[in-house]
Amino acid sequence: MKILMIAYYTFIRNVRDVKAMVAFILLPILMMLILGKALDSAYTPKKIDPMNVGYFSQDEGLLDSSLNEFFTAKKTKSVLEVKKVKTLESGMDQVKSGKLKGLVYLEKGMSNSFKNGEQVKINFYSKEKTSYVQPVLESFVRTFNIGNTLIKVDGKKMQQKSTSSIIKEVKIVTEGKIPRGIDYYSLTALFQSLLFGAIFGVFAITKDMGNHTNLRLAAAPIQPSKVILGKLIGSTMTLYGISLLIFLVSKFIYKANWDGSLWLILLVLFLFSAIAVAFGMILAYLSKSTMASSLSIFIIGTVLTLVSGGFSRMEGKVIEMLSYLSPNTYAQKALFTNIYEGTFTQSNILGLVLYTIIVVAFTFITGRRRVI
Amino acid sequence: MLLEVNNLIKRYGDFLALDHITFAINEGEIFGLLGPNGAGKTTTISIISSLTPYDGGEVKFLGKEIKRHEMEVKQEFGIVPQEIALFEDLTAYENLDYFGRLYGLRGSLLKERIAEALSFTGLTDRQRDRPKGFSGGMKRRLNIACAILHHPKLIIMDEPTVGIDPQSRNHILQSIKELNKMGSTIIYTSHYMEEVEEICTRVAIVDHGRVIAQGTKEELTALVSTEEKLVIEISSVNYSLVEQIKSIPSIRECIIKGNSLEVVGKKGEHNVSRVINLLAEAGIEILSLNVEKPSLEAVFLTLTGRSLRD
Ligand SMILES: Nc1ncnc2c1ncn2[C@@H]1O[C@H](COP(=O)(O)OP(=O)(O)OP(=O)(O)O)[C@@H](O)[C@H]1O
Ligand SMILES: [Mg+2]
Repeated sequence: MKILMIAYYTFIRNVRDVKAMVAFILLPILMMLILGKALDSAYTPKKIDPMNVGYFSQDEGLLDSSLNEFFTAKKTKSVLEVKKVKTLESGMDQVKSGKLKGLVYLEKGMSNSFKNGEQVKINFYSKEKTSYVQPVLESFVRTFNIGNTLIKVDGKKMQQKSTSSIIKEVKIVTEGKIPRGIDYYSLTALFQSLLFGAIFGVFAITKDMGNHTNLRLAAAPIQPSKVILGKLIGSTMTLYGISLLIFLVSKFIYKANWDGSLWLILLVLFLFSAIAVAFGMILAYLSKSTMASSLSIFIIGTVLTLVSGGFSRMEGKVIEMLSYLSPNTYAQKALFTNIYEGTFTQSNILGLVLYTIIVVAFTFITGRRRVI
Repeated sequence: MLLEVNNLIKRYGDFLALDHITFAINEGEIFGLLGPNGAGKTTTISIISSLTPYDGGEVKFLGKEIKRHEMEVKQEFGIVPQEIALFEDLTAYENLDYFGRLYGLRGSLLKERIAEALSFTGLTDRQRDRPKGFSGGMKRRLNIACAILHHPKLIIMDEPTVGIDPQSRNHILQSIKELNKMGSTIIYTSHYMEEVEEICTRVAIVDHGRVIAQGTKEELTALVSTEEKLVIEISSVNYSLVEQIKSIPSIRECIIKGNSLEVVGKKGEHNVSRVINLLAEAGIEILSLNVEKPSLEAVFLTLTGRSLRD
């Protein structure tokens, strides 16, 4: 109970720090905007050579013919070199061997399902994570939908019941979407600013030193570890709240790509908030100074962001090794794979959990020393 | 014995901050720790409150070593730190709520105790305000309120009247007496001798980390007072009279200060009546007469050769 009370009041005190709250909500939102816009092109290929793509269709209807038409259009031909394959297996083999960069295929009876108003999928397989076939297909889906909406309005032959479902967006399952600048930097800027949010961990400690309330806490009948835990929870909740707000802004206002498991996103944000706050608490316990802690957070936070590729993607063995020291690396990888490949990467989550455990343990070790 | 402090030793590096501090406090006392800046008052109190580790000796509360019964003992203590210890970003009410809960209070009892502490310290009207805007005196009072919510057996106050106006100071001294009447034992540290003289039942005088004397005020002054001082305001001063008074064997000194005579003599020799007789014979009217007992200040001066407030 005392732990929750301390957590509650720590949270309240953080929220009442209007300057800090405004700064930590606005900072990442602005950073996302600036980085995302400025570096957008860096993550979208500029010059494109036509790409070899296989096409296999078991469908014999509107979708198949439309797609064929689309593939032979001049505009499409400049980016895709489509080659029909005889069987799905041979197509897949060619993708695996690298002869084809990807394979588009339609399942049997898709056009019929589509006419009946069901949601259908155009399948696309690729070995590469980043592929520009996806946006090309998306543009097909868009034109196709619009085209059919027009048919629906003109030709009265269409079934009455499918009026609304026919314009339903066709979902494309791919193994590689292209992250745009805003997508990439929504993530890295979020984690960078969450690292700076370690200041809420610092505040939880240094404010009580400045107020001398740490004396009362130390003299009260409560174990020091419970005080530490209460403060950790309170400030983590503050930062977690901020991270959720930023998440919502980037998803709904910037329309950044946040597909994938919502639970995983929530978990990663939570663990990362806890890491940042614990990190701030450690610095505050060691330095006993808000200034020294803030400066350390700024420097260390910038370095950790840098090695995790938060400012620009970096290559090289050394950087890669260094990157594993940064919690951002685990968090970003976990979410990237979640969002762009739809997979759950155990190793990154595990890395993040381990990181949390270690940092929190250090918080208790540094915090249990006597106050005077 | 409520609290026993035996041979407490505390070092900061090579510096010996506490040198075998020993005293004991009975239930119901207001015990004063009197000493100049840097004497070791706060250090002593921090050790009693389990805030500071120490290098030797022991502290027992109700016969229990505090080190071994830390949580149990802490529950019985109310701490008023020397520095104002309040959350600036929480209201007065929230501060009390926080510290009340920290001592295990909750529900209606907590609400009751908060209301009681607020009215006791005269802060009921300001409970929704944050201490940021409070005067020094109000902060000091809230600082006390935070320590008394759980009705502690022992209230430890470290210079609770530092830096406030005489009115607030008086208010606080009266409240301390009241808390004592309501059943709390109190340790009160100060370097204001007058405060300690006014409220404390027993005093330990501390200097350079040592208890140089302890006892009731009377016991302490008796240590140094083999003499007493009469201050007599008279209608007219007469120099032959001064000589006459000086000729009394038990009188050591007689000087004129304005309209007054200051007479210092051995205690217990009926100096007062002898001097009055002489004045009456000379037909001099006595406007006022005052027998000054030695103060704790004098005790300190005698024992250390220094004044308390250097
Ligand atoms: N953390 C510390 N490190 C080193 N020396 C200290 C420390 N705390 C106190 N001292 C020294 O110990 C001595 C006793 O200090 P203490 O604070 O107990 O005095 P005090 O009687 O409370 O004085 P004051 O009336 O100024 O509050 C002082 O000389 C002080 O400088
Ligand atoms: Mg002190």
